[in-house]
Amino acid sequence: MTSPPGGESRRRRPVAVPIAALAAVTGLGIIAAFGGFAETPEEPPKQLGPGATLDQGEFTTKFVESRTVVEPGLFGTADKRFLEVELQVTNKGEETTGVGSPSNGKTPGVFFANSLLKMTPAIKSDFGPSVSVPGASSVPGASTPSSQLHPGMPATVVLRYQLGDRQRPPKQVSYDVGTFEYSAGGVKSLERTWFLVKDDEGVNAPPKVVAQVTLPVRQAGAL
Amino acid sequence: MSSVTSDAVNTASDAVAPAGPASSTRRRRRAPRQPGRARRAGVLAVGAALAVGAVLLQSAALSSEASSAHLTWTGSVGEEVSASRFSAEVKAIHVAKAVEFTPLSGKPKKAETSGVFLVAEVAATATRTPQKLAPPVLLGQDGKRYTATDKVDSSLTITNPYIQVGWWAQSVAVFEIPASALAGSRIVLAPQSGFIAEALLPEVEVDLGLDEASAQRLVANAKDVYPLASKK
Repeated sequence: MTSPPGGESRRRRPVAVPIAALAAVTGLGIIAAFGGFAETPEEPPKQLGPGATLDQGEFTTKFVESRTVVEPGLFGTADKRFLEVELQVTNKGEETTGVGSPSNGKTPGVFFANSLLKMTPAIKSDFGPSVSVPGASSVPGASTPSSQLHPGMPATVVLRYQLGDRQRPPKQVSYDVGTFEYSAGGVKSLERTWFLVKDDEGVNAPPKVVAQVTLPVRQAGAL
Repeated sequence: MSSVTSDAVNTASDAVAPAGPASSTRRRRRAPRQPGRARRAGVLAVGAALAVGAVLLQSAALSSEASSAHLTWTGSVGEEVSASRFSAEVKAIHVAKAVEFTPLSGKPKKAETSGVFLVAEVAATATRTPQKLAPPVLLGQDGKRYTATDKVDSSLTITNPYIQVGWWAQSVAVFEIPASALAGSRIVLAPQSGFIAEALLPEVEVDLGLDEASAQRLVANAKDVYPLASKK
C-alpha cells in the first residue's frame, strides 16, 4: 500500500481494515451476548398422559391405558399376573411393518416398539414383554393375534409384561418415547428405511426422547 | 570439523562428477520433447475426458431402489403369467369381513379386522427348480404395500407349499386392507429371496381390474365370513 505523495494521501488513509476489525469485534460481541455458537437448548420432551396422541413420524400413536390382568392358572397352578399397556397405532408409512419389540438389555429393539425407549419402573424379564395386535374375536379362543401394522389401518397394540409371583404391580408406568425418520443407512447402506431419530450426529448417539408418557395402572380387583 | 568439510567436499565432487552425463541426457531428452508437447496435451485431454466420463457414468448408476427392484411380468385375473423362474395365476378373488380357518392343530379360528379381507385363489408352478413364494403383497393404487396378513395360519396359504416343476400348487393369499385400498390394486407374487439378496428377482404382478365402482360393489357384497378350506 504505497500511497502517492500529496495532500490527498491523508484522506486516503487505510480505514477499511480498522473498520472491518471493529465490525468483526462488534459482531462477535453481539453473538457472545446472545449466547455464542452453542446449540440452542432443545425443547424438553412433551409430557403426555393417558389418551394422548403422539406423532412418531412413521406412526400415529395413542396411549390408551395401562392395567393389570390376571389369568387363572390351569390345573391348580398359581395365577399368572400381567401388566398390560394398550396403544392405538396407525402406520403412516407406505408398507406393512411389524409391532416389533422394545430393546431389552443388549438385544436391540425393532420396528414400532423400538420407539418405547425406556420404561419406568422397568419390569425385567428374560425376553421382554410380548407385543402383539390381539385379534379381538367375538368367539372366545378363536382370536388370531397379529404382529403386523398395515399402512393406514389403526391397530390396537398391547404390550404384556409378566409379573413375578411376589412382584407388586407399579402404581403407574412411564415411557420415554422416540420418533422415526425416513432416511438412508442401515444394513443395505443406501436403502432408505425408517430409523429412530437420534439425539446427536454420532453413530452411537442415543435415540432422542420426544415425549414422556405416564399411564396410571388400573389394578384388577383380585389383586 | 575436518570430516564435515571433507564430506561437504565429497558431496560437492559427487554432485559435480555426474554433471557431464546429466547435461548430455538432458540434451537427449530435450530432442523428442519438442514434438511430444502436442502428444502430452492429447494425453491430458484423454485423461480429463476419461475422468469426466467416469464422473458422468455415476449418474447412470442404478439407485438403491432400482438395484433392489424386481423384474416384473404383468397380467390380469384368470391369466397365466410366466415370469422367468415361475408361473402364477390369480384364479379368483373374494372380499370378506372375516376369515375362518382351522389350523393344523387346534380349534377353528376366526380372523377379524377393522377393514376387509381380500382372499385370492392363487396357483403357481416352477420353471426349473422347486422354490417357495415370499409372502404376497397387495400393491395399492397409491403405491402402498400391504403384506399378506399373519392372522391366517401361513401353512394354509400359498407361501407354504414348495412350488414344483410340472404341476400347479393351489392355495390362497389373504390380505387385510382398508376397503378404500381395493380399487386399482394389484397382487404381487415373488419367490423367496435367499439370505444374500439377489438383484432383479422375477415377480408376477396381477392387476385385479377393479375400478372404484366394482371395488365398492365387492365391499358391499362382502361375505360376513369366508371359510378357508383346511388342509387335507
